[in-house]
Amino acid sequence: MKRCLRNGSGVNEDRISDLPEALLLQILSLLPVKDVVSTSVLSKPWRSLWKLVPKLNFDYENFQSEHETYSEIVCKLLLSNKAPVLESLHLDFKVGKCRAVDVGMWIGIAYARHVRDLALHVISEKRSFTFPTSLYNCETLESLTLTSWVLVDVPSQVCLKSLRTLRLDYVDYKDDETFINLLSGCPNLENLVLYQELPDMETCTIAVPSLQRLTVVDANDAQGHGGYVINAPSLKYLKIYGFKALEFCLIENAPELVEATIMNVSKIINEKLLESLTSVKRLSLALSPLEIKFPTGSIFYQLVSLELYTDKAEWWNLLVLMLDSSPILQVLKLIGKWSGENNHLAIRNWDQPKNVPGCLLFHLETFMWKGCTKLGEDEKEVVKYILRNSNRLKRATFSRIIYEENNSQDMVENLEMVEELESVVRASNSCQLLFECNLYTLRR
Amino acid sequence: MSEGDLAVMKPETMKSYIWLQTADGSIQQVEQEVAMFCPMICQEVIQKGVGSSKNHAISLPQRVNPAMFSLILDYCRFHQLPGRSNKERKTYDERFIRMDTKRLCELTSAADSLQLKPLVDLTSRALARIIEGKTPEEIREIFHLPDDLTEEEKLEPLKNTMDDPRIRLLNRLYAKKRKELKERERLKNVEVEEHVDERSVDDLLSFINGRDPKVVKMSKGKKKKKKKKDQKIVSSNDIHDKESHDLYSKQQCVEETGSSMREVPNLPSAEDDISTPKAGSEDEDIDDEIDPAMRELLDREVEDFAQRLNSNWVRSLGKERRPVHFSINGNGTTRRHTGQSP
Repeated sequence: MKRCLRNGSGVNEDRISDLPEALLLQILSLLPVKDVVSTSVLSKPWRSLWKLVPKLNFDYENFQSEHETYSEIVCKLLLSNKAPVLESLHLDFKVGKCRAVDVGMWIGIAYARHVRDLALHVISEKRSFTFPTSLYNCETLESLTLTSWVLVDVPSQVCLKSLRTLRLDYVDYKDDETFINLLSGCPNLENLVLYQELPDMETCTIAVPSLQRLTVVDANDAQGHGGYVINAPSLKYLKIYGFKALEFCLIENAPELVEATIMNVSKIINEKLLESLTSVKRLSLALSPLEIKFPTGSIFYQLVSLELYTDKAEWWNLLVLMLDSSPILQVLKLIGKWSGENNHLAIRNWDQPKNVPGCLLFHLETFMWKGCTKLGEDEKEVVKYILRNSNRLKRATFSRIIYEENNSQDMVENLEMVEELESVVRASNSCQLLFECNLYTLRR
Repeated sequence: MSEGDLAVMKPETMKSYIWLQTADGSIQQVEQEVAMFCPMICQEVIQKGVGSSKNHAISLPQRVNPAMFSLILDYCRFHQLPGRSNKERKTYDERFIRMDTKRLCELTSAADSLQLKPLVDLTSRALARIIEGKTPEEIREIFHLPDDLTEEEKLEPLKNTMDDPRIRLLNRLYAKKRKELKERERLKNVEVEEHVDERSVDDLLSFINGRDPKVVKMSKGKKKKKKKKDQKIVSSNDIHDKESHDLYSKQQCVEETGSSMREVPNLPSAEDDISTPKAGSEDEDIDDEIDPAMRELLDREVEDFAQRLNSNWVRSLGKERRPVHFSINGNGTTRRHTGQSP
């Protein structure tokens, strides 16, 4: 049964108060708390609605008051909240304006209300604020996000029994044990997102038996020290961005892996990346074969969809290697970066493979080349090779970026390319060629 | 079959339609795949088997008037096609949502009664964007809300918080803390060396967080560039409250010190030892309706705080200083803060 704030037909013009309460709460949940509280003065039906909002979003910047400190406001509002279930609490606060004890109190109140999703964003200049240990002990918390320059210190026994999602954005760890202790205290963790810079000579061990999704973004230049060890037997989705100059990156057995995205990984001394991904179905790579060890002899026996970014050195060799090792590939996408003039590296010395890869002959159905400004001679050779040899190809799409509309030179080049490619004798009778132009606009 | 017959049996008649009746009584037929995009309609068809003919048209909920229904059908017609890219859908949504507020509310209501969640989410976000950041007067004007609350009623949310026993307890705790801080400051001012004082604050804070301060390892190695947020440096003009880490710039709770002036600045009695908070203390404000779990939680926090405050203070100040005991049960030093809300 849906409760409405007010009974009565819409004879008057006020339409919004007629909406069901649940819907109004949904709308209020999208607002920062300050705006939510101010709805209490709107009109009679709105007087108590603000207390039932299940999602609270405190942003520090808008909460300056002369009479009360931020901590007091937060506590009072938290305690005033009468929502049957406190679904989410997002708090940002500035160290120096709020004391550790205050933070402890907020966490205490939130946990007493059985909050499901907690996000704490710390605004601090020095990286030395530490959360109280009570943060890491809660039976009901399902999602935790900690952001920015806090020192995470986790003693040995912590328990976040219901935690399924953990996100750590640029936090520092007091020591190696902290991270391990934290992960071991989350027996049901399914989703881990790490944005960080691995400190010098550190090993980041991610060993979580229940983990299904892992995203690690670490673009720091490690200068040859330290690395990652990932041991997640239930892993299904993996994203790695930016590993640079690590000493090692090892991914242990992940037989359930469905999808992997590996971008901008380079100069790792001892790595076992591609080798560990042989069971994936979908792969997205922004890698150069010069930087990463291609596991010769490995077969990506389940790979159906491959995306390759063309802004890496000798990416075309990686393309050939992948085609050779992916017997059932159906979808191939080449993607140029959408910024700057040199958004992909022009192919040099393209050599046709000696034997046509099996996937081209028997499986490839979709081919797409996105984000290129212009296809040079070698690129066209690649395209022609694919067109000539893919027996099952249904559609080949070429999506160019143009920087100005109606640039006549662009249009002429485009036409020439279209003609040239259309004239290629295709192996597949049902193959369609599609040419798209996208105007590149600067977004602000 | 004759040619004439074949001509009649065009493919269009083979298409399935669902019959729907809007609140005003008018009946229309809609292509099946479009109508079934609405969960409510889908449910009626599957569970009750209605909608297959004019006589058995599905009655749409009251909140769905013909104009809104037409809009919703447009939405469904667009989105039910699987081949559309995310970008296309997003662009369509952005344009679709552009309408006056009144219609937006009606649309939200209609979409909600049809259980069309994506559209409900879309319209809710649009309404939230309209409300965000506006003053109550502006909101009333946009949505034609009557200004029917008395001034007294408008202050209620803030006053009501005073009635909540937990919030009263909280106020007491804050008052105590402010008093303690003020006390420390007072004693600190007597001291010769300022640095020693700051050190004790360090110890205090890190001790609260359960670690020996000497062992705290700061992020090691090279200084890393801050990639993310800009840190605004608030200029501090008030150095009274020195509780934060000395590594932080000295930005303090100016407001807090300000309001602490209203407290009774009595020295807590030195004889009182730290004790577990008793249920009934001399303070008449304490009532027993406080949720015991909450009270326990808050009490524990404050107790820890006070304990550490005390022990650290003793330790770091040295022999000459007479240890000051802070008690949790103040001697009538707290009072209701009726005048505190803005």
